[in-house]
Amino acid sequence: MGRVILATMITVERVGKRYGRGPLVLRGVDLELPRGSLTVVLGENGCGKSTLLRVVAGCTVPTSGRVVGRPCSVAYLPERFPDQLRLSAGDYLRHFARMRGVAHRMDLLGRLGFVGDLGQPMSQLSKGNTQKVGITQAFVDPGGLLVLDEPWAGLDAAARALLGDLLGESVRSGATVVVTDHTGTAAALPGAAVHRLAGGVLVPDDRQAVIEVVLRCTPQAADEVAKLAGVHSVRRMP
Amino acid sequence: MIRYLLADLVRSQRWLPPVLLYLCIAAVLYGGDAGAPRPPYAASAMALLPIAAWLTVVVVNNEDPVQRRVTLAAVGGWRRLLGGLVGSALLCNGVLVVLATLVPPLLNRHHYGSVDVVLGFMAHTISALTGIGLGVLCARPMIPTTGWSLIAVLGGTLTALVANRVPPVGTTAHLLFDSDPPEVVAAVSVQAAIAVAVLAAATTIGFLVGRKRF
Repeated sequence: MGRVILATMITVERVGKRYGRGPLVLRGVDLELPRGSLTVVLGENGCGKSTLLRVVAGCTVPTSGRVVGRPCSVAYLPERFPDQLRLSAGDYLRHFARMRGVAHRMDLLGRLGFVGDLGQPMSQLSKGNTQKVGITQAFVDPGGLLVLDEPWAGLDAAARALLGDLLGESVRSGATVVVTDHTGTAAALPGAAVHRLAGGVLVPDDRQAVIEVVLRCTPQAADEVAKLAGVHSVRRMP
Repeated sequence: MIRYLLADLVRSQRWLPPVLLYLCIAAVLYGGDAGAPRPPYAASAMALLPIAAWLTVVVVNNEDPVQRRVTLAAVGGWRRLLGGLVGSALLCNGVLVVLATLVPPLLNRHHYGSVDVVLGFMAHTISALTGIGLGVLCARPMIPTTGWSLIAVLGGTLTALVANRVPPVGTTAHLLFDSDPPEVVAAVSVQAAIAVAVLAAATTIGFLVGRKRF
């Protein structure tokens, strides 16, 4: 497998997804992912973030719509990295690098502070160390498509900081990164395009457009203001 | 990809029960005086059908479902992964086919002509190809749970074997059981072509139905 020349843009076009006869989890999601960009998807638990990421990564086929320009091999980190793998961490990383046709990056394990035996089955590693193997597996291909579902979960402080650096490096070397994150770390990274998924629809979450207004009014009027469209929150002064 | 899938399979040891069961069946068949070459070949080829299907279910279901998504993304989708899984199943079953064809001439004191060995190889290959097709239809994501997979494998096998002379496996077995039918190699070749078609059809159904189930 040689290096694949990437399209300049990966486009998610009107993607809808339902599982079996269940309700629509995604209803017409449009998203543009240019090369060298970092896209953050926010939203409440169970709102369909993981489903959207799986569709972008190509491991779930959408019910309607499509994803255009996706490379052959996508680096995908699931929300909970499987912890019952029988292969050793070393073998796992070598096999995945070979399947992608790129060199493995065992050195990242050391930088992430991996503790454990590379020759032992991965099921014997702690959750944090398993997550570090998952991250190392994902960061093999600079310039590819990285889809990371809650990558900061279960990491120690040093690894969390390094993950931010790694994401920055990847984006600068032309990778397309899509990430979900509850910790707020991703949205704070420079150049992050933040979107919010609610009710199966994706909308830009532009924090710069939020302004704070101080109103001196009755509590009833404050309740009315809170009901207005576009009002994020109402904070009452004591 | 096949190297990764087989490395994971070897570590899981789930391949052991079907392989051991097949070796036991072969031992029973060839334990005493097995008789003329072709009838025991036919019997062991029939026994290979459910074993090949079970082994294929083991190959396809071996990965953890979450890990399966990581692999799907890494290899570029279900079409390629299914190709790798069928390739792995062909390799595993190929070992059984070669053993089931070449070991009996060493153990049985009857004389094996080259036509007998060729017929034995073809009969086992036909069973293996059909079994892999059956296995693809009985494994994830077509059938999500192991219990139902096993029942589907057994049901498929009974349909193919108990009902008389169902092509390709039943017909092939009868061609080998009959004392000396004319043009037997040509007739078995037709069954081999049917077996290839069965595997191709099963893989296509597995791709089209399976791709929407991840």
